[in-house]
Amino acid sequence: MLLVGLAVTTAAWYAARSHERERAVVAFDRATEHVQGSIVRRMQDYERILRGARGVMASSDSDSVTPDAWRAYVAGLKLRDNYPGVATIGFVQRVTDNNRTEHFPVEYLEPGSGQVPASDMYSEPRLRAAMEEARDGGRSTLSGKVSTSLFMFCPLYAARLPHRTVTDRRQTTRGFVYAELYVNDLLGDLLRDRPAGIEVAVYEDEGMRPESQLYGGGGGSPEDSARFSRVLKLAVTGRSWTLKIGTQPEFEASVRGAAPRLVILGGVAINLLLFAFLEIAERKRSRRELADRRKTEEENQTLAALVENSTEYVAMATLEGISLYLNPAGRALIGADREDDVIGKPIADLIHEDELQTLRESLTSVHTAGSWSGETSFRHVKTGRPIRCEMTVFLVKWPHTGQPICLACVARDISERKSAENALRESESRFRQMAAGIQEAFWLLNVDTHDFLYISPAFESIWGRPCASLYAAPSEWLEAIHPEERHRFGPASIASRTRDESYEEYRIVRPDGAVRFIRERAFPIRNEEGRVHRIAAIAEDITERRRLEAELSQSQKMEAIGTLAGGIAHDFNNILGAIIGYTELALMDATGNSVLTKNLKAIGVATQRAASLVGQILAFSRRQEPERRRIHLEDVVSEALDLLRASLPASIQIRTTFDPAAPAVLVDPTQVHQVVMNLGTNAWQAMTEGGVLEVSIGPFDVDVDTAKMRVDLSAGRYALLSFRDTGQGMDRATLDRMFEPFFTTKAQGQGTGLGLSTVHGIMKNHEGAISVYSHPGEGTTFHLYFPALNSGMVDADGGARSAPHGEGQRILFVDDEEPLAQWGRQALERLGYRVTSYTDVFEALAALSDRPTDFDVVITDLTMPSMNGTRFAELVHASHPAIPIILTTGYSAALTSQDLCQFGICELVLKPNTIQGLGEAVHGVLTTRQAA
Amino acid sequence: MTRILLVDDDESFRPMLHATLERCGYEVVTAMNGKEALARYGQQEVDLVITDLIMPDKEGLETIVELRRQAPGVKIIAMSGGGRNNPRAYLHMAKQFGAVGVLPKPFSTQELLDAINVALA
Repeated sequence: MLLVGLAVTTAAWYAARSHERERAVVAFDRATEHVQGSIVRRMQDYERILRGARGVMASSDSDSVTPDAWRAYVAGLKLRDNYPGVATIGFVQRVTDNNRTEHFPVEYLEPGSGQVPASDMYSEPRLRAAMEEARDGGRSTLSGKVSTSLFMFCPLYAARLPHRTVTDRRQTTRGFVYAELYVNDLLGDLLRDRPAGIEVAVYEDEGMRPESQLYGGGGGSPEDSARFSRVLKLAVTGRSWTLKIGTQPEFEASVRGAAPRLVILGGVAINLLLFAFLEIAERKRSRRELADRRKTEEENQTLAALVENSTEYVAMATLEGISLYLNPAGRALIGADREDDVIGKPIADLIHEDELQTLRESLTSVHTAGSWSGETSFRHVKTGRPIRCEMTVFLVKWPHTGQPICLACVARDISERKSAENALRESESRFRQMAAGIQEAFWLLNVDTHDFLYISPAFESIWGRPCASLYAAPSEWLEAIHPEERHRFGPASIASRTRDESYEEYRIVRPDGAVRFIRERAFPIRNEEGRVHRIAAIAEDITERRRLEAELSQSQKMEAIGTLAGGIAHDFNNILGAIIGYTELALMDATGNSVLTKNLKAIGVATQRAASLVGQILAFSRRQEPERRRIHLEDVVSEALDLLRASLPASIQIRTTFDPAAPAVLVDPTQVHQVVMNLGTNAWQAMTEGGVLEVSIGPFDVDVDTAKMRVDLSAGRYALLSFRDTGQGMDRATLDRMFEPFFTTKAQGQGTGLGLSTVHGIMKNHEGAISVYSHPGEGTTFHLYFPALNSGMVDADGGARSAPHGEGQRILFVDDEEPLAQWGRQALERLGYRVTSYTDVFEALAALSDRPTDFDVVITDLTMPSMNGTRFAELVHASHPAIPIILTTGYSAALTSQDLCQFGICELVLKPNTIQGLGEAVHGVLTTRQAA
Repeated sequence: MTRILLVDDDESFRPMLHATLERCGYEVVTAMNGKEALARYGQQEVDLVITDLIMPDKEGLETIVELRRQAPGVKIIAMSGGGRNNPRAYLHMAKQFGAVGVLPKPFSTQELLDAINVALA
């Protein structure tokens, strides 16, 4: 460092010196220019004086310029003050003698104290040379040195004569204005303020001979050994002088600065200081290093202790992957009892075979990126089982060079965490699957923030809104509640939910406008401190239940009304019968009394009306099985419409569209007739201003998906009977109640309110369904679905699965309806019986007669046109007393089976036939016979 | 004179029909239920039985069956005002069990006379 400092100091000194020399050169050049310029300017000044004087002379001829005038002019120049070195200024006039020889005597000369030159300056060769040169050149010329003076001549030519050429000039020369210059005074004055240490010598020629020296400086000529010297030519008023300028030590001393010395001194001082400083710093550093080393050692020991006692796996390995170190926790993790189990072995031995690829990738990453983090599995040394861990591997490098030294690894056992994560994931998956499968919606609400923490998937299907919308905007829950009930869910409601378990039933409005009934159970959940911080709720869509309840309620109502009606109808009919009877008796006695007769007849009419009303009440309340027959709806509907048409005003048109593809149905024609009459009457009454009633019949198939949406329709084929009118239509409130018994929108006395209830009951009895579409002002459409024959007669599950099976017993099946006979045969064959079916009673009797032992059971319908079933049974029983007979009938059993046994009828099966019913009946009678 | 056994438990209807039948020239024997009717039938000769179906103490259908068992040729007209079930169903059943005619209540005197004529024909 010191050497460097000294080298720098030396370089600085050298630079300072160079700089100093450059400054000296510049100063010398400046001095040289100053001297040179001074001389030239002074000579130019002198020329101007002479030209001025010449001007004086030229402005008039020489006769008019008097010595006084000349004196005054020269005095005005103040030569001593302004032009030091000028001794005198004079004028010499040209005179030509008789010999034509020119002479130039001094005409004027001022100041007079100057040296009087020769009377004829022309006679002095040097002066002559200068004068001739001036004359010929037409310019001022300086002479050579004459004694101690120099003379400067300025020619004066005759005015108004040409003097361009030398000849002209020679001829026209009047004289010369001249100045005598004391050389020493002149140059001494000029060079007085030259820089110190600059010596100047002026010579008249280039040879610089001593005799040609005009001026020799203060102490002689500049030494040739001067540090700086220069010789240069100087053109001075026609003469060529030589200047020699040189420096003396004084000049060099003047330009020599203290910088180099200062640099040297300063540099040395700085270096010494620096050395001292460095020395002190070095000592401090050494002390500090020692302290750091001690501290590092302490830290190392602490770190070593930390690693040794760490609960995490800490290991080190060579760059090639050979284990160097494994802390006790690491050994414990992998089940290595001793260090020898690990140290010196490849780290791949510690990794489970399934993770070797990961190990390779991790090492590659470490060498390229410096570190790697991820999950891997160690291998238990003894059992080989995998141990799942989070691991970080990194390169350990030299701090100064960055050279890798070894690999380090830190790992943590995450087996339990993984296991817990898997368990949690599975639990969540199970929960979500369960939640997805549960039809009720449930949610968890944060009491403090009113945010939903969880909403089950069922919310979406019930509320018709995505769960995400409720997470985003919890207020949507309240907005979904029916406007008429929202007021029940204010702050008080929420407060009550935080206290105890609560139940609420309310309506919601789905985005599609549908209204659903919700039953909700909410209960508070407390945290560890016992504060209620969550509300859990389970919500059930009870719309269907409500509907069924309403239906059941209505059904029960109708049942009650039916019971009531049925109960009073019998008595009413008797009462009415008595009134009618007595009235007729009275009429018999009232002949001849027209008033009495008329009044009695009025009683009769009124009583008939009462009887008709009772009939209507009974008609809708009856729970009988309809008297079904296989028909095409078109037949009955056409007949009913003909009847209806007769009672309709002309403003009502009836249009029919009957599709021949409509299937046959098994219905009670009378009831269908009633349906047509009731709906036709309703339509007529809705079209007060006239209109069109369209009645259509066609096939209709209900698929599985449609059946799912309609509780009253099963999948299958139907005959669809539709009534569409152009009447006033019905509003929602009317539609909701239209099938209620006694509900009517008509004025009192214009309807019993039973018409549509009756239609509804009839459709239900026929296992059919009814749909209504109406809007105020847009008319009304009724769709009535009658199950097609053979489509609704087999049980949904076939019935055969649960009905008892036979073992090939033989059955004679009799029903005058061909489809029913076919169905009965197929149904019983499915149950494992052998069946022979007949639609003709006499053929059946003949078969029995021909093959008396061929049948084990006879099944017969009751209502048959050629012979009723009981008669047939009597005949069969008479001829084959051992064969049990089963009677199928649509009428509710007014008799017990016991009573029917007198006809040989052992069992009564109510229609509509089902496989289950038939199967059980057959099995029953066969079992009884076997027991007997 | 044709004797008619009238069986009906209704206290308004039975007297009315009794009076009407007599007014129409028939001899009438009455019973208030089937049990009584069977007893009455055994006591005297009866040409025609007109019976209601829904009665206490042996209803009309049973009565019909019993009467026909006792006297297979007995002529019976069944009548009914209905009840829980359609009177036509009852009346139809009555025909199945041997009634020769049926009269749904209420009926007119003319309907009654027509049924009697058909039954006795």
